[in-house]
Amino acid sequence: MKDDSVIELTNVTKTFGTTKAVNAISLRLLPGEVYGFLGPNGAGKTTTIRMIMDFIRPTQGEISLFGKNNKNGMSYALSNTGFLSADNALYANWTAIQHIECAENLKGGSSDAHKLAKQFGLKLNAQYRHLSSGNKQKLALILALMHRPKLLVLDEPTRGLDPLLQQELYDILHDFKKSGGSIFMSSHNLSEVQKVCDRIGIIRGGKMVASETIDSLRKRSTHEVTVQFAKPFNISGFGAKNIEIKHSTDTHLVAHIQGDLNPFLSKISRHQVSDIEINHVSLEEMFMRFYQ
Amino acid sequence: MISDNQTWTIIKKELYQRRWALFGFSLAAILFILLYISIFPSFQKETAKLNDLFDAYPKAVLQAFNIDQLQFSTFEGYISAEHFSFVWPLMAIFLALSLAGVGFAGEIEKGTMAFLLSQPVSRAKIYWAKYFSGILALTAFTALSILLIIPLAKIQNIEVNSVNVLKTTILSLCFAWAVYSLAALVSSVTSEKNRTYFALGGLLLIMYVANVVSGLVAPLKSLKYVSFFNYYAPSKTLTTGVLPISSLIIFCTVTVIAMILGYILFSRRDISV
Repeated sequence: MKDDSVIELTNVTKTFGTTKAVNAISLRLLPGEVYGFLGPNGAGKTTTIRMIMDFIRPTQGEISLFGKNNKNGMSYALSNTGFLSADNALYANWTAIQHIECAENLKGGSSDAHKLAKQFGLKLNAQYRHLSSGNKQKLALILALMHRPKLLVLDEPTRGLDPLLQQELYDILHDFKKSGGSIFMSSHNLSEVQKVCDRIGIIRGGKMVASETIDSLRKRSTHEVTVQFAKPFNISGFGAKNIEIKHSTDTHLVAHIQGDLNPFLSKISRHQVSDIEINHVSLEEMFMRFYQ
Repeated sequence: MISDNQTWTIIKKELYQRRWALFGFSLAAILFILLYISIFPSFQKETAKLNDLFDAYPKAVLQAFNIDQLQFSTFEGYISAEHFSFVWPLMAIFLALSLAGVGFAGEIEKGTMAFLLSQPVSRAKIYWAKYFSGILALTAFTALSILLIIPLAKIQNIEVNSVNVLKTTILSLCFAWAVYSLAALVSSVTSEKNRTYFALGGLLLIMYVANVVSGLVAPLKSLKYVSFFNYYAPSKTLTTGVLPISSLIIFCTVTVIAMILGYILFSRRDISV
């Protein structure tokens, strides 16, 4: 385990009966980094987050937060962690202020709760059960952020928030990151991940299928080339490692080219071309490939 | 200091959340006592007839239902028949199951346990604070619903043996703690409060039937030893003043074992919230 890791998972497996919910995943979150954890429903995202928070324990492998685990000081780690659950369940009969006071007593020290409530426009005297879903999410966010943690673990943080509040949350997360905080967040919202995250991990069927920086994904950008040939052409001449033929007819070709375009263009130049269109494949489409 | 503050915060939170259940059960028990006290003079007039009626029952039947010490001529005998043979144990059992079921499994079922687990509070502290808040609530209910008999009876100029009432309170408290601790044990390993209610409700029903059957069927006499209701005989304590030490030992042993086992299992389990 590296000392500077905020979160480190090493070959973590979680089994429920005969089902492997999470299968030998490893990942690291460094200080100041924002890690987006993506995957389809049932892929193992929430199970992984529950293990990080020590709600459930791994069947195999090791997990540490700030170098601590449930055997050597999880309380210390949690005192520096803000958590937002996907289910967002709080006490129905309590007011927002009662939740905040309880969290203040459990965590100790001063908090930014009132400042955040003002920023989010949340009234603190209403009972939780009477709050709208957006306001419930706001309260959960305030509880996660109020003690100025070094790490935020967020399970789908913008679920239930309107676009304005989503933007407000992104701004808060950017400020949090600027101040040196680290964020581990799961999301289904791919544009959100592009906006907020430095690095992504994609989990599918309990296994990590990708883990790389957003920058490297962008650099590894893919072009979609649509060519209309004047005469029928032979497709066999277009086979290459970085070329994926998406669609073809006698005179029409759609291909995805990863990396250098020139070898593909030189192949095209051997034919009479009546039209050509070149577009970038969006990050969303690239994510979707990992999902499928 | 923060750790003490954390424990108190959770205890206060638990008691605050259970305040209406505690208030409702205590109020109901007090109203029952007031009702019994108000009609006691009428009963006293019919003492001879009532005693004759119960004398006509086979002794074994009365023993099976723990009411073999009935004496309607005294207030202790009357209140033990009216209040302690059925109503109070039932209320105590319902309250104990409710406190244990909602405190552990109920919070997991609703997902609110995530709020506590995500705070820098150890599992041990969460368990003990929740466990003792239930013990405190049950103690308050027991004290209110039994000890208040003394002043309420005296207001009506009814003679009551305070020492016997106190001894009955101790016995009832140990019974309630044992039921609660078993329920807390089940609740701390399940994720649905209804499972706690069914498991403990079923167990207590089996114990009750075992106690009754052991009194009625001679070959099954030894079944009574597996039943809490064999050891919980408040009518005997209230009328004779005998506080059976063996009962206290049984209840306290069950309480301690269930409490420690619950702690171990709660600390090690997965909590999917």
